Amino acid sequence: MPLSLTGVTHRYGDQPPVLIGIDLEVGADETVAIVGASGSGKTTLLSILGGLLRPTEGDVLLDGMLVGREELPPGSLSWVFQTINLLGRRTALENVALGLHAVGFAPGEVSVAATAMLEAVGLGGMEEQVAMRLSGGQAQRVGIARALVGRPRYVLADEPTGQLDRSTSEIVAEVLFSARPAGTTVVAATHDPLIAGRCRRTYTIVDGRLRAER
Amino acid sequence: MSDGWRLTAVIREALANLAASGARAGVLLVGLGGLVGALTWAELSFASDVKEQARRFDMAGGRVAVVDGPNGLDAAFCEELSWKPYVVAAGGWREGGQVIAASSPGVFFERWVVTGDIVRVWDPRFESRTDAGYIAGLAAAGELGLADGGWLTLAGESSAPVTVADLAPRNQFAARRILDPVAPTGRLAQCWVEFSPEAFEAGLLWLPAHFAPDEAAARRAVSRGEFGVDPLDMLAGRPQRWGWLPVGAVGAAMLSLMALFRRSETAVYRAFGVRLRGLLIMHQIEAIVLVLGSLIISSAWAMAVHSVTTGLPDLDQVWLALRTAAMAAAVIVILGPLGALLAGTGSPATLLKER
Repeated sequence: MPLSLTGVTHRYGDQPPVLIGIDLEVGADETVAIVGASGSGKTTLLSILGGLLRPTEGDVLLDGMLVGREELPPGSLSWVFQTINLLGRRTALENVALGLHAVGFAPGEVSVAATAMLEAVGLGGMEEQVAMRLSGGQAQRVGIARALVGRPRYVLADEPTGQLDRSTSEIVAEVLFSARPAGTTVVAATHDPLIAGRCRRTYTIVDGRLRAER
Repeated sequence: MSDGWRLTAVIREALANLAASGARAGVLLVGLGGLVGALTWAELSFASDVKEQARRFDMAGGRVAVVDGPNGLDAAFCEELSWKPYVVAAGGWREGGQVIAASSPGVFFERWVVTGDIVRVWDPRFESRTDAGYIAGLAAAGELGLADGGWLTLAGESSAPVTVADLAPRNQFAARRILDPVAPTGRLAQCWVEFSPEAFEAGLLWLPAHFAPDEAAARRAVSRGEFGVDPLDMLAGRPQRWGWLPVGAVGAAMLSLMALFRRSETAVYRAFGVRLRGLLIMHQIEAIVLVLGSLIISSAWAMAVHSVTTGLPDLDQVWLALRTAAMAAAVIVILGPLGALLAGTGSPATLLKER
């Protein structure tokens, strides 16, 4: 069963709706980009997809469960944030381990799996680096490792290169898609062609409505 | 845990967060320690004052009742009291006329005929009753040059050993009397009864009935005007006994405030599958470690300061202070994670954008 939005409309308070009547279906092993101008509602749409925000109208379903209202099974969804949001005083390894704890990994296996994931995103040897001392690109790669390490069905990436320069963005974009486990779908809200260009499907939000580009 | 996070992982995460944020943990330890330590110290100091007050109160006869009646009292009834479990000592006296010591002709002393336990009521340093020989108050012994264990010969009577006792603190009139212990028969002018502290108030009310059919009235040996309040009542009514409430509330507010500063961290945990229950456990583990640490350090500090400035506290004082401090600690542990819960119930989407 795919992750699906049906008739989703969302408004903040008395403001005009940011999203209007959105229908979207995302299946397994896909890569989907949601693009649009700043303030167009990309992050709002992603937050609704991931259950961090309840839509004013409409439903989000995953395996017949209402996302954001029912507890999804562990490993259903994971996140890459624009603001990265690592635990600053914890090590890179400990931050990646969050993604494993989320799916109930046995404590003895966490360290090995997290180390392997850090290797996969090109940060081998940086396991004990404190997150607040990492560069922006390194931190976002840790964020991607954290999101992917538990092999979630869906990774929701909100402007994953939004705070990075061009060359670092290329590395991060490469890592996000190359380290993606088989079967994991990435839905990225982005205005970065580096990310959008790597997705099989692209949608644009214009005036609150979703338009398929390809 | 059903949300994917194992309980052990949640606990480790809490401990790792504490270890990784040494400065934050240190600030909280100092803050909570200051609060709990001040409370502990206040309790110790007050208990110390009350203990001294109680000692003076007891020495002055704070738990002693005096019974008398218009027709005197039955000596057997008075003597019977000295065997009751809630009575420390009980004894009575009646006038026995004037006497002259053979060693000091021309100087008259009052002789009081007493039951043997009266010496324990009037001088609490005595641990056993005195049923033989004479008992001399300090003033009488001084005038007659008597020493404890010496002998006294009254005019016209044979010599008898003397026990010297300091009777004045509880009965100043007895200081210059020669007490003559006799078997508890006949009538007494007064019966003095020292109760155990918890039994005193009820005992005072009950005493007249004990002496029935004699018409008896019981009163306190020490007037309330002299001491104002019974030290036990002072202890029970001390304002610090509620100190755990404000200290607990302020401590919990500190932890909650700190948790609110960490709301983006809370949102990360929520986004990565930690449910509110897990979040509560995580913050409670942190609170337990911090509060226990501050409780141990600050209580040790308070006791050390008290030992240096006032003296080594006894077990009762320590128990009293630790009980109040522990109640404050419990409030902090229970209410401290509320801030984290509050942050956890907020929209993660919003919180994640806050730094």
